[in-house]
Amino acid sequence: MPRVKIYQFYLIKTSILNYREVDGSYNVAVAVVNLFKNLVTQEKWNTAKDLINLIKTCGKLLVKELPLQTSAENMIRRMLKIVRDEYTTACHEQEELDIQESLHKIVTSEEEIDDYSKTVAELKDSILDHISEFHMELETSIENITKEAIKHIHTSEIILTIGKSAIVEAFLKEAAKHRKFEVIVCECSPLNYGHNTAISLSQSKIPTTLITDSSIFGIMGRVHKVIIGTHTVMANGGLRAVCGTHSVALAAKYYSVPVIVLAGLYKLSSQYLISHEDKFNQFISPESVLKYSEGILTSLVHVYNPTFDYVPPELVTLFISNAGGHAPSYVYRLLSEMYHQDDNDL
Amino acid sequence: MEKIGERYSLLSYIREYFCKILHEEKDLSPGIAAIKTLLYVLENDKSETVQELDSNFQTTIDIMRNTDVPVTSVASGCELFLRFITFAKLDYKTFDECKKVMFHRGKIFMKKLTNARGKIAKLASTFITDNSRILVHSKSRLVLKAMEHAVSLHKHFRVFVTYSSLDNSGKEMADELKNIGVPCTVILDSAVGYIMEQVDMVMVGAEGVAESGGIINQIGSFTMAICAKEMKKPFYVLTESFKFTRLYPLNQRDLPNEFKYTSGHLRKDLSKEHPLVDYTPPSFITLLFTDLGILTPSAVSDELIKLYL
Amino acid sequence: MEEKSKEEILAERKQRKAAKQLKKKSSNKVVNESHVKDKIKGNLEENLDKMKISQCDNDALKTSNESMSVNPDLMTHFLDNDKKFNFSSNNTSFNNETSSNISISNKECGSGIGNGINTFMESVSDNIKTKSQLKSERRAKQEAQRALKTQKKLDEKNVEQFETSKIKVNKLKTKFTHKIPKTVDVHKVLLFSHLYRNSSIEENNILTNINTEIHKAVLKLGVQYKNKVIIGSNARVVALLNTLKQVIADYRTPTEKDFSRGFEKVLGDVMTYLNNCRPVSVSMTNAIKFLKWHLSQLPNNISDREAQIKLREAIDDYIKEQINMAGKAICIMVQKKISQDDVILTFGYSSLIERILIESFQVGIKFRVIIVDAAPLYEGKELLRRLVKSGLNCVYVLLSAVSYIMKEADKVLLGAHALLTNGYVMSRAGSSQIALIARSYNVPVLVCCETHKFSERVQTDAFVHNELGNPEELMKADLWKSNNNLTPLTLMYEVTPSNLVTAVVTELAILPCTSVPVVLRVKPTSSTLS
Repeated sequence: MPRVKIYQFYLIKTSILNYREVDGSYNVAVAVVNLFKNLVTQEKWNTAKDLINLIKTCGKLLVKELPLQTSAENMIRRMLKIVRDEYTTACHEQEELDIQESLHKIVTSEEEIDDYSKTVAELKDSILDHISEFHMELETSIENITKEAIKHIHTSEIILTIGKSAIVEAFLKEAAKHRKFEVIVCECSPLNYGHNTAISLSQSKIPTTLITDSSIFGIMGRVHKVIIGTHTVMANGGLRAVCGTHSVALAAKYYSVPVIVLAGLYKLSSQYLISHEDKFNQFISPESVLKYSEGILTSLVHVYNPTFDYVPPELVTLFISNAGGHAPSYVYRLLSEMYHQDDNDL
Repeated sequence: MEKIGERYSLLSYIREYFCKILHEEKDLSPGIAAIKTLLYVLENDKSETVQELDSNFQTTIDIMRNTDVPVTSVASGCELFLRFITFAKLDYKTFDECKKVMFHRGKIFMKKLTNARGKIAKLASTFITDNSRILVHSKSRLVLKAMEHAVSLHKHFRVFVTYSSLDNSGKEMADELKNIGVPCTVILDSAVGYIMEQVDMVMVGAEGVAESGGIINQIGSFTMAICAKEMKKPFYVLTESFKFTRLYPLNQRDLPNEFKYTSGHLRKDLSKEHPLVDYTPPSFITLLFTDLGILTPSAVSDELIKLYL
Repeated sequence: MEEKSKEEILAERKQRKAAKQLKKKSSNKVVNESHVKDKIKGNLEENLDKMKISQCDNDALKTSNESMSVNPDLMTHFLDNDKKFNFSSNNTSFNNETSSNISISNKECGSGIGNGINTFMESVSDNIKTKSQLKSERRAKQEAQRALKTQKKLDEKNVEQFETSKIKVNKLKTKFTHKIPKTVDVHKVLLFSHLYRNSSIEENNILTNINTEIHKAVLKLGVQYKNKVIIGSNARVVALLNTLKQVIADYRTPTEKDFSRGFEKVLGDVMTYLNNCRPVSVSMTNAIKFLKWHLSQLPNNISDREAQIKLREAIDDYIKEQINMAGKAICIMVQKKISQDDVILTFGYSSLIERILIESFQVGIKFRVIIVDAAPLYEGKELLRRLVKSGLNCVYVLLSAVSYIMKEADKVLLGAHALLTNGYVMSRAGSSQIALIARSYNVPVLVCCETHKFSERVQTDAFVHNELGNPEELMKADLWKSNNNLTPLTLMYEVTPSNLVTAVVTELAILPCTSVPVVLRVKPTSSTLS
């Protein structure tokens, strides 16, 4: 397929983008949406079926390039869903049909013969409109989440957070405009993302305490709320978050401290945890754990430096997304509204 | 008069037909058999009004519930079928037209239901990882199918099956697993607690799924779920969506007796009988693999709400 | 003979030190005066000067005692004041710390070179003084500016405090250098404010103690504790006992006292000093209790020599039985719990765990070890080095990765700082997290702890009684010192609730955590004595 070659260019462009950054998922999402917007405008396609196939082919390549940036995968699914939605509404003209598989549908027994191959007028325009709309939604997602801040933080609370998350920073800073409270930041060694967060928060006049990872359990007893970001929200409501989050969540559970997770909807993935090795975790250079300068020692020892922790859904109290607050048990629903089931396997 | 006679002859045949299906196709769930029987009734029914048809269905259902077959999935299957009929009734004016459409749709309905298994097997087999150890309770056709699929993907895993002393179905399960080349150990029902720390996950089928997202399954499942939760092992349920029932059991006692005992037993002193099924609340269930996709227990209620409200 | 000459040297050194102090104090006088004015009326100054002169006397204590008897009221006032002064003069104490540091390293050299080094020391410390003077001048300027800045933003409560400091700062700017303790307060976490030890007070105490008779070996030990050269509760107690052996050997009963009374006082001083260097561990407290009990058993008329021999024997027995033999017994017990091809996860560095692992390996059990490590001390690296050297197969991860690695582990072995009577385990910070994650993966957690670390204390959280680590190790000082809203915090210990621990392995048996009080009851040798 010579045509795909063109897209490899796009792909590489995207893959370079913030690949290593844990909190770069927003940027990846935006980049992917733009990429596919270009794809829809510039490529030649006739039917929705063509377009779906095109997106899927490119999507597969993209996912191959960015295996752990789930937001890229999520955005591809979202694009597919947009195409499907526009097609169905254009075809049926009536109120929006639920195109998800459901018990209801089995019972009503409509035959699904629709394979998106009808030619629909102005499909391209409506799809592009929809994508732009979605792009807007993406851009305002942080703002929408931070708006919720004062609903969750009250005066003289002690909030604990871990690592570095742009959304958590924005959230706390927003709350600090209205309320006085304290923040405890776990440093998240070996990469010490927490240091940046602590400095940034303290510069906004929020009294901040930076603690070592080992002090988490000790201090948790006096914490009122844990507010964290995440890299991905898994399909069962679990988290794929920066290493150390599982400890934080367990300690919070032990002391019955609520754990609030801030995540834009673009972080919602249809993935389940099957094993850490399989498309879940990323292992980075152990240099920061055990210096190469330790010499012979490094060659005799296995050193691991994983990037992510899996946090099971029962440890999460609440998700706050740009669509409001949700319990982890409701994630399945958001998922079925956002993605089409046929796209679970790209 | 003739009509009534005909009706009785049809209905008297129902029990035989239902049992025949179950006997001939051992792999069939009683729920599917019940729906098949209802379709058979629909096909051969000679009634001329909707009311008549309805009452025939009702009689059929009563008859099937009174056989010695576990009634849970029969109940949910029938409920779903009646819902299907109701939807079909809405759209057409004449009874004949309506019946025709019903029959046509019934075929599709049936097809969807029978395709469900393959879909579930595919979903569940991705969760079977290489070198994992899986604990299974009694015999479940779906679990077997999922494992078959996993074997076809060249995955290696080991299975522990409970003997399930109620009907010794664990032994059958073990034999079937050995046939497809899966190493398998039969354990005592009482050894669940012992074996739990050695396994990576639990996979069970279900006879019914309650509105809460909990399951009704062969007795012993609840014990297994409690053990699994205590030892932090995932508890997976494989079930077709027609087993979703509009039932919200609060505890074991709250389960209807007809679910817990066969009709034969119901006539005896229940305090001396063993219940056939137990109820596992949703908090013990990690995920449900259904033909509607992988669901969390909370999603079950969502589906039922969509269908019935 | 040698000992005498040592003492002479010591006295000489003390004299020099006192002279040095005086020099500095007189140069600090202006500042000093301002302090004094704040607190006490004019006639006290006279006394102050007198005191300084008396301090430069060879036996400072005697004179001060005399003056105390003359005017006890004034004297206490003065002492109060003096403390405050020293509290704020960080420079002095800094210098003295270095000099005491150096002097301690000197101790190991023969006494002959001592003198030469002494003079060398002086020049060094002079050097330091000038440098640090410059530095502190600069700092004072910065501090003054900052104080002015922060003052505006602080709420009413603090305004008062800062006004006084402002005055001070203004004076300092024109006259002389020194640190304002108030700015330090900003970087204290309120929840832990009771745990902050004001470094200058502490060092002041060390200073005054140097003037009393503290054995040089103890001084050395104190610095080693303070600088975390000797860490781990076993190592600390062994070092303490060995040092005390020296102290006992060098101890001469004053004529008017009997041995046990006199030595108890020495012991008390030693422990105050050591506690100032770093809060004493439970193992140390228990060892001292044990020693005191033996002291009380000594007959009144015992000769020094006999008493020394008895105590030495008692100490040797303690080390042998409570630490070495107990360790051996625990090793044997844990060995039985390690199966072939196990994966053992451990955290930090515990001498007992090291011994268990190495001995089990040498017995021929094949197993792998996962070492989890964490700030502040990163002691796990030491364990890693030692285990690798002994040929064990090791994996090394940091605490944040423990959730990932835990599923591979079969057992968790943890060391402990102390076991508390309520069944909680006091251990290095991070242990509870390991135990929590182990529980969430259903991995058994064994805490290995000799009974000499069992304590009668009860504690349910990490707040009431704890130790804080050096915040500068967590984050570079220039990133937060000037930022009043940012405070790094490191906890050294925490308590692990007993429901997270599967079992405690002691030399007596493998026990549930909740049996600590039972052990304390049946084992009268160590902690129940006093």
